[in-house]
Amino acid sequence: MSRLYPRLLPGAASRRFKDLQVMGPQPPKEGEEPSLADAVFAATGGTRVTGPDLTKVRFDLVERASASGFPTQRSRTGYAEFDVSVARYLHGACGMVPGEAAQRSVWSYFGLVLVPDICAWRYPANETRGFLDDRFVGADLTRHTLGRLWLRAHLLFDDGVGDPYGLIVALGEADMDQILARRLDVAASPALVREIVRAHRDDPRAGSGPKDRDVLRDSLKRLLRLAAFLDLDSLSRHQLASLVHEARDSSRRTLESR
Amino acid sequence: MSVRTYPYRTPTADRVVADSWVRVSTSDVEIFGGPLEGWDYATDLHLRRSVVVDCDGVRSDAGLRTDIPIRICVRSRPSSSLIRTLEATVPLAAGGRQSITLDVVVAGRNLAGAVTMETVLELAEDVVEPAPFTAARASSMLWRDEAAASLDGDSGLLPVAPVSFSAAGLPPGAAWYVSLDTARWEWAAMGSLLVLLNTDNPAVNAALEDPTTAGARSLLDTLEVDLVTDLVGRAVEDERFRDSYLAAGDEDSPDDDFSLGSLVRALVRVRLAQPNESVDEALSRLRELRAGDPSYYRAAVQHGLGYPRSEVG
Repeated sequence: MSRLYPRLLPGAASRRFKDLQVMGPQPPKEGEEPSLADAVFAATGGTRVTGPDLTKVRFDLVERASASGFPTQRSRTGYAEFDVSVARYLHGACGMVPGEAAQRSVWSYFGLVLVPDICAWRYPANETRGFLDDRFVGADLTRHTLGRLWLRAHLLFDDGVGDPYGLIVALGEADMDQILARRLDVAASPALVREIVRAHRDDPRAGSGPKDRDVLRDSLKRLLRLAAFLDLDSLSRHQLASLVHEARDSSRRTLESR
Repeated sequence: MSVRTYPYRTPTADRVVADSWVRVSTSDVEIFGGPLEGWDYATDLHLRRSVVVDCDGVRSDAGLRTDIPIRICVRSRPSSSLIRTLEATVPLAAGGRQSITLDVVVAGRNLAGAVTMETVLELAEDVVEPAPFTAARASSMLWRDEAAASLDGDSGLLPVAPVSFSAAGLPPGAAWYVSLDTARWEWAAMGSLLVLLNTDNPAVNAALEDPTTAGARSLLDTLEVDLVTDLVGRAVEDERFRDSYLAAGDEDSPDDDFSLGSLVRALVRVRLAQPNESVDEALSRLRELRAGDPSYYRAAVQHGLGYPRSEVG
C-alpha cells in the first residue's frame, strides 16, 4: 500500500515561490507540524501521511543534509553525498509508489512547504535570477531538487544485487542529467539506463583516449537513434549490454579519429 | 500527425488485425480508451485484446526468411513518469494466420495521469546475414499501435478515506460522513473536503472492494447527490461565501482556482443553473428554495445531477 503525500496546488505553489524569492525559505517552525494548507491528497490508493509522519520525513532529510554540510557549508563533494543519501532515502524509505512520486505537486509540497531550507541550500539563489523555480516547484521531475533524486534512484534500482542502489554513485549529476534529458526514449527504459551506467562505470578504457563524458554523450545519441525503431524494453540484460557496448565502441572510435 | 518510418521493409497494415483493448473487471467489460472511473494506485488494470497476425504475409512483406522468429510485445507507459514497462511477450514462431489473445495486468502502483498501451510486432532474435533493407536486430519493430486512457487526470481527486466509524466515534451504522470545512471558502477544495466511508457498513465495504458493481455505483451516485446538496446548501446559506463570491461577477471570480468556493460555483454553473441563468442568479434561486422548501431544493439538485446516473439492476 502506497503512502500518499500532500500535493500543493499549482496556484499555492506559485504564491509560495514568490514569497520564497522575497523572504527566503520558511521551513516549518520547530515543534510544529508541516502545514497542510493549500494541500490535497489523492482520493484513494494508499494511506495518507500524518502530521507526525511529515515531521519525521523532514527530520530525516535534515539529518542527511546536515551530514553533507547543511545549512552553512557548501561543496561539490557535500552535494554529491547529499544526492546519493537522499536518493536512497526517498526511494527506499518513503513508501511512495511510482505513480505518486510522478505527481509534480507532491514535489512542490516537499520543495516549498516541507524542506524549502534544504532545497535553498542545495540550489542557492544566484545574483541575477534568485532561486530557480524548477528546483522548488515540481514542474519537471528531472529538475526538482528532490524529485530528480527519487527518479534517479528509481531508474537505477537493481533488485538483483547486494546493494540495489549501488549504481547511484556511478554517475555524477551532470552525466545523469544527460540521460534524464532523453526521457521519452533512453530514460524511459530503466533496464537500459542501468546498462548505460554499468558500462560507463566498468569501462576498462576509462581515463584513456577521449573524455569519458564525451564517450557517454556520443553513445547516448547513438542509442537514441536505435530507440526510434527498436523495442528496447523487450531485450534481455545481455542484449542491452551488447547494444550499449557497441554504441560506446562506435563513439570511442569516432572520437579518437577526430 | 507524425508518421514513423523505419529503415527497413515493414508489412502492410492488413497483415495484423487487432481488436480494441477492453478492460476486464469482476463484473463488467468496457472498451479501453475513455476516462477510467474509480481508478487509483491500488487498482491494477486488467486489459485484454485479440490480435490476428498473418505470419507468412508479415515475413514476406518485410523480406524476412520463413524461419525468422517474430513476437508480439505489449508495453505500458504512464504520462506522468514516462517510464515504460514490458507487460507481455508472446512468441509467434509458426507460419500461417495466428490468432492470439493478449491478456495483461498493468500494476496500478506504476501509473498516474494517463496510460498508453503499446502493442508491437517485432523480431524476436538477431537475423544472421539479413537481406538488404530488411530488419536485422532483435526487437526491430515491424508493426505497432497504441491506445491511451486517462486515469486521474494529473490532478487531485475527491478525498475519500475509509475508516471504521465505531472506532472513530461516528454513528456506527452510517454509510458516510462528509467532512466539510467551510471556514475559508478560498482554501483549496480538496483540502477542505473529506468524505469518510464507514468500513463497518457491509454495503460500503462491498462498494470499496469493487466499485464497478451496480450496487456500488448506485451507492456512489447517492453519495454524490448528498455531497452536492450539502456543499451547495452550506455555501448559499453562508454569508462569508456570499460576501466573497456572490457579490462578484463571473469575470471577477474565476472558478478554476481549485478553491472550495470555486468548486461550488462550477457545480452550480455546470449542473444546477437553468438555461440563460447566471451563476449568481442560480445561487440566489437555490438559496430561496432551500430556505422556503428544502425538499424541493434537494429535488432540484437531484435533477441537476441526473440522479441516479448509473443503471440500477
